[in-house]
Amino acid sequence: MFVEAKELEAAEDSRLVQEFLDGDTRAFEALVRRHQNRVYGFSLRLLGSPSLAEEAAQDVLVKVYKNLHRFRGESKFTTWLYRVTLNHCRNVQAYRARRHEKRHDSLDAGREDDEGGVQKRELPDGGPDAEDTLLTTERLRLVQEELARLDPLWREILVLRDVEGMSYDEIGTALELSPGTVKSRIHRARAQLKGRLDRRLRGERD
Amino acid sequence: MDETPGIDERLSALLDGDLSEAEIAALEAEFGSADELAAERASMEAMLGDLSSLGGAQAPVGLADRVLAAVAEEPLVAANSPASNVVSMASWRRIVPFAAAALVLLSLGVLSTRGEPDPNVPPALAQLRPAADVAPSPTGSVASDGLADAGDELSALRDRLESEAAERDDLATGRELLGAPPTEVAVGQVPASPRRSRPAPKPEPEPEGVFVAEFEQGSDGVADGGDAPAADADLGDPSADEAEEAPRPAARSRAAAPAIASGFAPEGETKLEEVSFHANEGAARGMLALPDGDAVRRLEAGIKSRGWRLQRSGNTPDKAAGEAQWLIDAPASDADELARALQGAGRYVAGGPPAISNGRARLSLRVRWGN
Repeated sequence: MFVEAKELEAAEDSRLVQEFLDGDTRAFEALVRRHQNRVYGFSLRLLGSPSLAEEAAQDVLVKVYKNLHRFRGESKFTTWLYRVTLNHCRNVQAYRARRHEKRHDSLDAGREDDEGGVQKRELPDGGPDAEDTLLTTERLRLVQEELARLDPLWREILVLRDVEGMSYDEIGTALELSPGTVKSRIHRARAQLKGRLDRRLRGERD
Repeated sequence: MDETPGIDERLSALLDGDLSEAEIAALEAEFGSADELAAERASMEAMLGDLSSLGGAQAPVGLADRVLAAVAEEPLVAANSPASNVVSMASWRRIVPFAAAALVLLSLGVLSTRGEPDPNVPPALAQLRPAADVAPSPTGSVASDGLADAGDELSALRDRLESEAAERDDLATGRELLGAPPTEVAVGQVPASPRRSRPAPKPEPEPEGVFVAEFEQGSDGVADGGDAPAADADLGDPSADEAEEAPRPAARSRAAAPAIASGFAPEGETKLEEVSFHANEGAARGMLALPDGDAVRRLEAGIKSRGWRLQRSGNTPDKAAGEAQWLIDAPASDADELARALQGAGRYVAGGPPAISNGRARLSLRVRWGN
């Protein structure tokens, strides 16, 4: 267990938050650089589109700047951050649903960088065997696709638990759910995803 | 659960250690043979391993800089700061047009949500509905197309305003529940964000009450103590903060790995360890191919004997061939030794040296054996 590492991380966050509130705006920069991957990655899994996730991550971090004085440290900063990101992404999804918009970005697609070039998305870990790597990549692609198709109710909790690695308690705080509900939803969400993957592997479509 | 969950749900519960002995026995009986159960269990474990490896996405280049540029013009409002009650004239000049637009749009929204046409509504206004709500005109005149386009734009703006209002309501409700006093927030300038693309300009939402709501449960608040930093405070030289997180090159020598302690009792369980660490974040990546499960056990034992921390998901070494995702966390001073131990244990392909942050070296490792 990485309890100590996690505690260290939380303590560092608390220190940075306090420094920021004491007037050191460089502490905010440190928080942004520290957590931008987390916010972007979580947004990416919830929204399923790199460009939407980038936009959402920027909005979320600006919101954090504007509202950090309201965070009192009763929960961990990261839990609060997940909650802010989750709310924002839910709003983005609701807005897009009302607009009947669909974004067809592929998660595997390259991402345009600041200079207009395309950053090739990194493959998962490189392997000694190209075929093996290809299989892994293909399997991950399937998982990504089916995860993106899950109902948000299942997707959110699955991402928090199995992608972001949050504990039951943290998820309960972020989603305002009891521990029992968190557990049962996680199990159901995993079953949903596994059922979808099994059907895909058998060549069936929904 | 009120009703018996499906097999996959119970498999998930089994992996998390949430099943009783009786429930495990019932599950085994349902499968008919231990082998079938083991196969399904492995399938579920593999899926969880895949999900775990989806973490650690890298934010786009320049995201942090764009955020910092966006907030550079924002006044920082600390709790209890006198500034928190100040709304400048400049802010009012920004607010008034949006408020007027919101009033008009809200009026239109009320009209457009009615099922029957309101006889009091002028025909031109009646067409300013969301495009999806308006029956296509058989004539398709230019004028009606234009109105439909305008309606679409207005609808988009209205949706955005409604979305933001819903967010404020949601969070304000939370604040109310917790009994926190409402806080006035100075409305800052809309940041001149260098964002590359954006569907439509939007007024910055008033962050009223928002995120505090769920977490402000006591008086020991960070917000109680801070003075607001100057709005034009220098956001500073990033290098100082980045230095702490910059990965440090690790030795890549092929020196023989130190003897790895043996005797680590294989746990034999496939229960995933409680993931309480943000998996993969800030960790370098690598891949390790080992000959068999025994080699996996030995390496686990070696890691643990050194006091390094190991978090894993996926298959356990009792499988002849398997795959797992490991996250290793060691003191930064042990980074070189960690790299050597991995190189000595099997075929190690490093995506980079263990990332050094806060005095710790972290490595996200995909481990395979028996393949």
